[in-house]
Amino acid sequence: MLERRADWLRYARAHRLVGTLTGAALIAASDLVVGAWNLSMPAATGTGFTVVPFRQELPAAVAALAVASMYSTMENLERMGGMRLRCFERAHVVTAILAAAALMWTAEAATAGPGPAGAGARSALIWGCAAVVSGRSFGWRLSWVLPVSTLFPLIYYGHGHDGAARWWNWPDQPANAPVPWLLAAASTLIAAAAFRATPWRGHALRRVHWPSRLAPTGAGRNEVEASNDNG
Amino acid sequence: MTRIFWIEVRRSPLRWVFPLLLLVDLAALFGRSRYWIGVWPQASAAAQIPAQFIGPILAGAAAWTAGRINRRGLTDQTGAAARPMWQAELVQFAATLTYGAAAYLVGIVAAAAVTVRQAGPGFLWPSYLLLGLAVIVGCAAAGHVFGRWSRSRIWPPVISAIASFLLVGWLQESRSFAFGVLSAGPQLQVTRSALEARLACAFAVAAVAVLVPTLAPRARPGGYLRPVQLLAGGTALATLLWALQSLAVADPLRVQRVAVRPLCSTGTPNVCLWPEDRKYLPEIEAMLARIRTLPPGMFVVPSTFFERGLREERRGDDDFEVIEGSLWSISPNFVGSIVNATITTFCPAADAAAEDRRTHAYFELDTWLEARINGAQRPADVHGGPPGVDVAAVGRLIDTPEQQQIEWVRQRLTTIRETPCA
Amino acid sequence: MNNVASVSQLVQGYGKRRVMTGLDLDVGVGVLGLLGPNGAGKTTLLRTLATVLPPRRGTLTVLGERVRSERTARRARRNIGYLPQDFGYFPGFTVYDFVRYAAWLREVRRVDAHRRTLDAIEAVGLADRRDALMKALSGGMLRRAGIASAIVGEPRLLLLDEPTVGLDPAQRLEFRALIRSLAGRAVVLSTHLVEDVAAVCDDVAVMNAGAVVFRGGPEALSSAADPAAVGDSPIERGYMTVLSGEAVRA
Repeated sequence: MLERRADWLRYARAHRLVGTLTGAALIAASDLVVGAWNLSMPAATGTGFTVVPFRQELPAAVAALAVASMYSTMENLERMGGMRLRCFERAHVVTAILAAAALMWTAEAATAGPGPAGAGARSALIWGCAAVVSGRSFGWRLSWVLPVSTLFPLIYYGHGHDGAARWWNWPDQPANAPVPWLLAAASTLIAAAAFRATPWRGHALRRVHWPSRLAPTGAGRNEVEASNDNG
Repeated sequence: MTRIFWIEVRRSPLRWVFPLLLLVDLAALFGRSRYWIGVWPQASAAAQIPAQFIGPILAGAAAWTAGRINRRGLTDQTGAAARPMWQAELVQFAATLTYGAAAYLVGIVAAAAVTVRQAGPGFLWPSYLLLGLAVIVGCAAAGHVFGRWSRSRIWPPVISAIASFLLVGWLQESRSFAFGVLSAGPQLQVTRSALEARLACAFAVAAVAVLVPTLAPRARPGGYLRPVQLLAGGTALATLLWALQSLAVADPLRVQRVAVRPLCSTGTPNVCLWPEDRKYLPEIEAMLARIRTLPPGMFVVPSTFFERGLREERRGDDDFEVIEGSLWSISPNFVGSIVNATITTFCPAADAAAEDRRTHAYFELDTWLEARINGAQRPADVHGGPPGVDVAAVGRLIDTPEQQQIEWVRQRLTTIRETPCA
Repeated sequence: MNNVASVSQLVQGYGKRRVMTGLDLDVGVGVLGLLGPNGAGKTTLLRTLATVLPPRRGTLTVLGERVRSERTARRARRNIGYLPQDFGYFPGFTVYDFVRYAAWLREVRRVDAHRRTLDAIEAVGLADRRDALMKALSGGMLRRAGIASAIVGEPRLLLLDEPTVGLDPAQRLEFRALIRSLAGRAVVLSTHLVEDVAAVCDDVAVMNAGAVVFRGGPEALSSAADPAAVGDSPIERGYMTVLSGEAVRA
């Protein structure tokens, strides 16, 4: 048991879990102060702008940072990890997303009540899943790219001409709106698939569905381009 | 140094972000509205708007790029370089800024290209474009500072991007410290001191980004700190404080523009516009033509309608303003001018019921005149309307025979004029 | 089993770039030196053998089992020690923590992990620094800690990518002794230092532009030398001769 705990601790230290999750918690806590502040941004609405409270956007930062803890200072060695590492990573990513959702729920419940708390937790869940997809695609250090990229369309195109939130604008929908929950479920499934998409699985998929992408160019040895991998 | 700069531009990670910057720029420019096309100040404001989105993206990318020295373990090499470290910082920051400015410039060129045909003489107003540039420079510099100073490999980009985004939006909401505008009319202009304060803030942050990292002990493995470095870094920080202070005491971002020689139509009544709004003239002349067809003898029509800001404010209560390109938005002002000129006496009504009747008659008359001047019923995207008035039914009146309309108008005028005074 | 790992008709690349097309290589017990200029594909080959990079085409076999899925790759990794050229480390780890973490990654049994960690640290001569922080180690010591992380758990296939970079002459001598002590397992040593190969390798493969252009013993490489080729030793001249394409024995 102690050995297992020590393994966990080493894993947590390599991933700087405490620091990253503390940062995410601090950002969530900032909701208590700045959650009600408004952003006034240009938008494709009838008035030409939209006013968005901070609380709608904070879950993106909280979720992106929580998932960014998947990055490890020892990622090059971890690429050689086996089942044990995989189990830890699975528990880690689930915990990170749930922690982000719980942090936002708590912060929102303390400031705005249970309704916004549910919406905040849901936003953290969706953005956390987006961060997983981003991390798998660009590396865990860049897991924030996709969540941050969603801010522009959500704010700019997220409201109709009359200013009402569009159905897919999940941060601006009430907690009981069904469509954002469907989005949350869909993003969870996509994130789960992305998490499972290791290089070997991706390779197997390409081998079955896009064999041409793996095919040799037919170039002879002298036409082979040199790699820049120093090898 | 120029050669190093171009190498940095070619190798910068920003080259992968540039398509995103470009996409966001053009989406923000054309995705919101098109009414600005053909009016130089409006086009200038529209071209500036994407900066509020490009800036935060650039901040994140700048943080990522600036963190490269720590990430790749190059601190010793840069610290031991013969060249002053500020030059390396400057080259890296300038390359980052080049990508942001290039994306911004593409939007500006696009805005100018689509505007030039309709707008006639004039060009984009540099003041608005410089406001956007201030946002881009400030955000890129803030990201560079954070990326360069933080040892974390994760935090700087995400925090820089989101914090810049929230800050830009929050300052916009505060109005006094806004770094951008959402729309612009020819009657408003950016004040020199407000623009200078914003540019000073942005470039002061840029100076901090270039000069202050050299002061960090871990950036100087040798430990040497030349007095000139200390002086430069200190000056940059002092300049930033001065710029922030000047922002606090600067004039409002925009004030009324001094009137210029207006562009006036011919005939009676006629209209006088800001020359920049010349693209609206044909449609407004059509409205004037419809005003000329109002039932003779029933209304007094002012000889000239003025766009707001072309004459002194106290005379211009009913002067019109083209709001976001909607010509329907100017008809209430036309109607107000006509009704005020037609009904010159006013007294409090004898009782509440008489007051209600008169108010209702005013509302109906206004609604009919609006429809008549526009030659159409109120469009669906124009919301609201006077309380208690069936806007659609009154709008349909303009399609009825002229005599029927005259009778309907006469009833309303009679109600208004014969309301007993208190 | 003499053949510990092999690749056959290996096609590998990054994006649209092809790094190798149709490479064949067998790795047996003993030390195989992988020589080649920068960009020859050595690191790509090692990453493939380490199961980090799936082959685009061709087959990879480790200890008799063809690696073709995530599951088989993970199983193979238990028997592979891999030291990347740029192995990262958490600066707050001690040497013990670092090697122990590598043991955990390789799924060394918990009851054995402590002892094997100590053995690996001992083997690289860092026993007296096992509680030192990684960030406090010199470049040479860091390399040795890296090697300890690769050999912990006694893998049957050891892949070392430029392990002698940053080592001083004395440390390189120690490293050679360490490699010689790893008898009975397959070691692939990627390097561009020809003298390291001459000193410790039983077998040499020279790579150029994504293909193996020479395979044989160090003596054979020396004997392939053109006397007019540049180089300070017969094996260096042999290496330069092979690269210039005058004695291809692949």
